[in-house]
Amino acid sequence: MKTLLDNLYITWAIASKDIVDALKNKATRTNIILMMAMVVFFYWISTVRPWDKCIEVVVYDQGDSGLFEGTIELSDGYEIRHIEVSSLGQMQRNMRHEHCGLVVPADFEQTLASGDETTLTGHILWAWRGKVAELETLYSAKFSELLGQPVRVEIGENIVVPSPDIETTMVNQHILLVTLFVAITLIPALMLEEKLTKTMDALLVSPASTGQVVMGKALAGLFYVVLTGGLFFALNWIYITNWGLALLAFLLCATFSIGLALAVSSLVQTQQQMALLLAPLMILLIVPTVFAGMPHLAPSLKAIFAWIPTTALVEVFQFAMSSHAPADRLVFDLAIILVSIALVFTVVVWKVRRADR
Amino acid sequence: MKAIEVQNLTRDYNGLRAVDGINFAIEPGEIFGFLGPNGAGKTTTIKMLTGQLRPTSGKAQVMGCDVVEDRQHLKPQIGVVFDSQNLYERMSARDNLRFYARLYRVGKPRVEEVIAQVGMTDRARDKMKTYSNGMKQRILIARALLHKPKVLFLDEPTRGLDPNVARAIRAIVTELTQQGMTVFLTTHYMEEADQLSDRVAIIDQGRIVALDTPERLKAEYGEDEKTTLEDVFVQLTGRYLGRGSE
Repeated sequence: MKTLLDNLYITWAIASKDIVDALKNKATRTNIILMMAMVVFFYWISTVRPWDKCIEVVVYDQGDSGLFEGTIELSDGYEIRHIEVSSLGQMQRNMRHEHCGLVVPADFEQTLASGDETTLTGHILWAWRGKVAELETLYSAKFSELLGQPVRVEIGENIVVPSPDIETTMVNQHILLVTLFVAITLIPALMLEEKLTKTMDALLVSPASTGQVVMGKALAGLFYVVLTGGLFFALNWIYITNWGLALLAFLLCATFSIGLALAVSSLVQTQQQMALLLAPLMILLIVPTVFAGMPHLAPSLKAIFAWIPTTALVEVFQFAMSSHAPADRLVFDLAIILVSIALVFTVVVWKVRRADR
Repeated sequence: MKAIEVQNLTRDYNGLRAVDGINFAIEPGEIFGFLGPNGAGKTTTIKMLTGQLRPTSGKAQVMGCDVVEDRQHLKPQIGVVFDSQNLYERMSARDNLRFYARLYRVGKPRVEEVIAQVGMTDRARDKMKTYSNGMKQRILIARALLHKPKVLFLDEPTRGLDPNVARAIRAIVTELTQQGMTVFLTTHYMEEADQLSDRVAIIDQGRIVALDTPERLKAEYGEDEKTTLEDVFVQLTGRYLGRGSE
């Protein structure tokens, strides 16, 4: 009987060969670089946004001052757009990305007319908590320019942790996309190459079993998934409110993606078959995650999308970037994800067991 | 104990019988030629004997290990040279062999030993994609020998090679049997089979139609002393191309 250490040794031997070989293979190397570039690109469009000179203000105007009307253009190409809300809670729920939540006091017009320096209470989202001073300076300068006299915007401790019901950013979808793509482009390619070049035959007459070969490929895929995920979290850590949940979500996402990739590779024999299977599968898994978060989606579709594992994963990532995770939804999502993981690995085990028949 | 013992071994593919109840036994140290036309069941038989394919029925043992029940003990006893040159093309010959050495838990000195044994020391650091077919074939043999197996399966080891390389490979095989290794050889080159094999089995449509030493087969099926193993082969298996068209 083989010991666990023997199994791990052989699995690691196969995985380490594949980790190095994936970099030597032009196609897989290109995929890995593309995925890394995608992580940086997602960070750039969701967080850096160098083109963004628009200050979007969610205004809770307690005195109905009519301070903001339409889009206001300022110097340096900046412009101010606003959304008017009727309560503090509504203001916090409507804040997205780098929005500034602004409370205009009831006596604002009188204070303004007296010529004294006016102070407005600003709010920002959790992700920008490290930029309080910078944003206070920016908002103060821009609102002073808008009103033609000194205005101070004070943010202080007014950090809004997003509600779990509101997607304030698309970062939760980005991590799913990256993890899924790394696994799905790498693992079937590694497996398929062994089949096409018939090196699989040589592996299977060596002490390696089919299961160890499959686990070796999974481990090699996991290496690159973790590498890409590591880069993702290093760039997007500011969004995370619950690291335990974020890491659990990533672990589940990686396991599901790897299981799916293994299932796909066990079912196909050629590149064409792989492309034919992957294209509809990706559409089925990714499109619902985009629509599920939309507020005006038909309830029936929302109910259907909730059963798709990738939608559940995106929601768990969202909970990890929110004020709290509603227990009932979290349990439902985790159940969907775990059942899906069990299903894809069942396909893998079934195919592995039938490998010599 | 026999090196290989096969009893009523059968394999079906989607209702078609590829191997049909074959029986034979091979003594340790013997070179056993397994000949047959394309699609006769040679590679299927090798796949069953090396544990890659489950027989539909029948039994087979290699060095006392059942090929279905005892595959983990079977694997260290066998080396296989496949009919395809299945090596990692982006890796060097040495790295290919070191990878398999890790799987077999064999040290690096043994890798250098087998590289030297097949005469490839000078090119061992070059990538496989720069190798000729003959050089790759030598590395395939080196890979099969890494863990010092008791039985070596050679599936058409000299196919497509020039006469010099083919001769060198035959010399390696002869040397191995002198060291006590059992060799199970399939080939389409009858002269090679005649020259190397102690005994030969001819398989056709999944059934063994003749099994004996090359000399006895030639004597039994030949018309005179000029009869070659190829004549015997054609006589036993060439009904479509030869006798049928006459």
